[in-house]
Amino acid sequence: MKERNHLDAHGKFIRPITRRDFLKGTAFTIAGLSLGVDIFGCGNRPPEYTPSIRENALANKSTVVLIRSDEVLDESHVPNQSVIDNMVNRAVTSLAGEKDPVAAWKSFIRPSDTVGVKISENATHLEIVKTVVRNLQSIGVADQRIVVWDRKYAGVGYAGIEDRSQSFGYRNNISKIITDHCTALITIPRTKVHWLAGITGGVKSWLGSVTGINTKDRDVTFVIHGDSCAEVCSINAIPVIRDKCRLVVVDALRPLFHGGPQIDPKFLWDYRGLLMSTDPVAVDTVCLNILQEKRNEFKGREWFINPPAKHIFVADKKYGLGNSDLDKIELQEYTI
Amino acid sequence: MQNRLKVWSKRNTFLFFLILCIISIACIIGIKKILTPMRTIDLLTCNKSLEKWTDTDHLEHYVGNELVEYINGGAELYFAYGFKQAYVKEYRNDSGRNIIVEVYEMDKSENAYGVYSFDTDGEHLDIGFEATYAYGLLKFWKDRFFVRIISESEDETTRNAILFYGKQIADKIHKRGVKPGILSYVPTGRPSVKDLRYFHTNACLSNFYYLSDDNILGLNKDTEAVTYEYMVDNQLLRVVLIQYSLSEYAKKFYQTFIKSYFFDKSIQDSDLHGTAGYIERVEEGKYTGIRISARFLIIVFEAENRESCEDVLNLQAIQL
Repeated sequence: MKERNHLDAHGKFIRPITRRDFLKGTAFTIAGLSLGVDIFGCGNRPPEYTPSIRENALANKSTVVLIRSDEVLDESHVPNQSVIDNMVNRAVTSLAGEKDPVAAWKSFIRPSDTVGVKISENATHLEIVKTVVRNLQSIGVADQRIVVWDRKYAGVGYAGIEDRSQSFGYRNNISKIITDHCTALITIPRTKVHWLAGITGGVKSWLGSVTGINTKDRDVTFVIHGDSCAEVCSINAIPVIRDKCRLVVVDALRPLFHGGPQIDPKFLWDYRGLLMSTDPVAVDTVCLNILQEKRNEFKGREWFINPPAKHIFVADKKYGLGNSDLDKIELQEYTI
Repeated sequence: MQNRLKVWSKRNTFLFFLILCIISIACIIGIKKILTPMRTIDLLTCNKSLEKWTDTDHLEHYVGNELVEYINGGAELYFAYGFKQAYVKEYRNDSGRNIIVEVYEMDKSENAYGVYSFDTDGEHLDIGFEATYAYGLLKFWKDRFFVRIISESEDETTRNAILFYGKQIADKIHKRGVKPGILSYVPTGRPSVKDLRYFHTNACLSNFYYLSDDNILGLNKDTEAVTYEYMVDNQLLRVVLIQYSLSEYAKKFYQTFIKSYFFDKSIQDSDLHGTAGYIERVEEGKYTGIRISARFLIIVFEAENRESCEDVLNLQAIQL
């Protein structure tokens, strides 16, 4: 069987990546080869506001901590705050390798930091956000230096978790919360299967921090919707986002394993999990596997996530944002 | 006697004209009702109220691209089916439970069916043209409207309320609508046909069965397409049937598909220009086949052997 070249002399594709490439496991090698193709679509922008390839890509294994608890949701699927507190404490101490939660949080966030806590509107369970904000306060981050937001809706301090009625505006199409105000970022997405991007998690969550996009990708700053949103990870590759993000906390209490983002209750699943990592790509890779296994179990046969979550692999192979290879991920699992 | 007859005749004439007037007025009202374009918002006006459930006065309206404000990342599904506008309304009961009613108006009834066809698993109810209910979510379509009524949690009271509001809306839609014509070419009478989906764009196909990052089948809003699973001899095959507006497009994308998908095979000119079709063994030992018939393309995936692939291609081809 002869294998034709994928790229021409100018580094451009001479044929599309197909389902067969995914089955053969060559699709992401091809994606990695496309580094020279200019698809940023950002025009003349300061480098810190322009997606770029990380030069010092991760050489070591990435750690992802997964905590599960049967007690975290009640019969009505409402989270138990004290169980969430314990789950977050266990996750952060395991990730930091510290016994004391305060010391663990301090290994990621300085008391002098101004922290942006990016959530997913109408999706992230706010009980997790409350625990994170209280922990930030416990290490000395002032209440007024914590901003909780998604898209143009923001709130300041603990009260701002519920009341996100403020707007900070945008600089170079990126939220000023990131460019002007915060020195550190934490993202708390809720993982789900997504009809256009494969899945949602730590990488895709930053989409809610920029403006100047539209679904047709016409006259936009960030070209991210084509090719199953493969380039949505370019938002994460913007230096002011990539370099400020210290922690990814994924809400997997009740993921949606089909048909997202619109909720269909028959595909909601009480997984009762929470994941934490400093590597958004690694944590998404773990989520991808969790969701894929659930789908297979639901149908009693392979039920692929369609379209494939290409952005996770492009984030790794093209932008060097983290590890998408399970062999390069150390998964620490705990049940409490 | 003659006077009596005259009076009787006058009375009858009067009654005749009175009845005629009543019938005419009724007809005018009826015709006016039919001719007056139905406003989508009127579907959300409930004539009857439901005990313990109140209208929260929360009403949202999204026109065209504004839908991204409501379903961030998910509006594209509706755009792929000729989305026009949507209304979202909320009801609440005295226990604090909510019901969200979403009415989506598409450009034509075929597209309302298309959105509905995305997932039809659940209990099928007699609401609208077709309806599905499962775990607190009612979905139905009728005419050019696709309706979703959802509650965060499900119990009998909530279920009854969801069905009540669903029936009220469905009853207000006077036309039934029509299903897409391409469905008549699918062997739907067979129990082996499952998960039938109607679509136009590559993004939708990628959601049912990922094929390629490029639009190698030339799908767009003018192409009519369906995909379904076909169970034969314990094999679950995937069939894609596409109807192009011109036979030239079918020829063009027949060739594009063969060249793009079987890039590593020895493809002869006769494979590209013949009408016999093309079947090839691909990854995991599965067979993929394609056939052209006038304006139609038929593609079969996941066959365990060449014979099954050919049989299903034939089965679909004779329906055209």
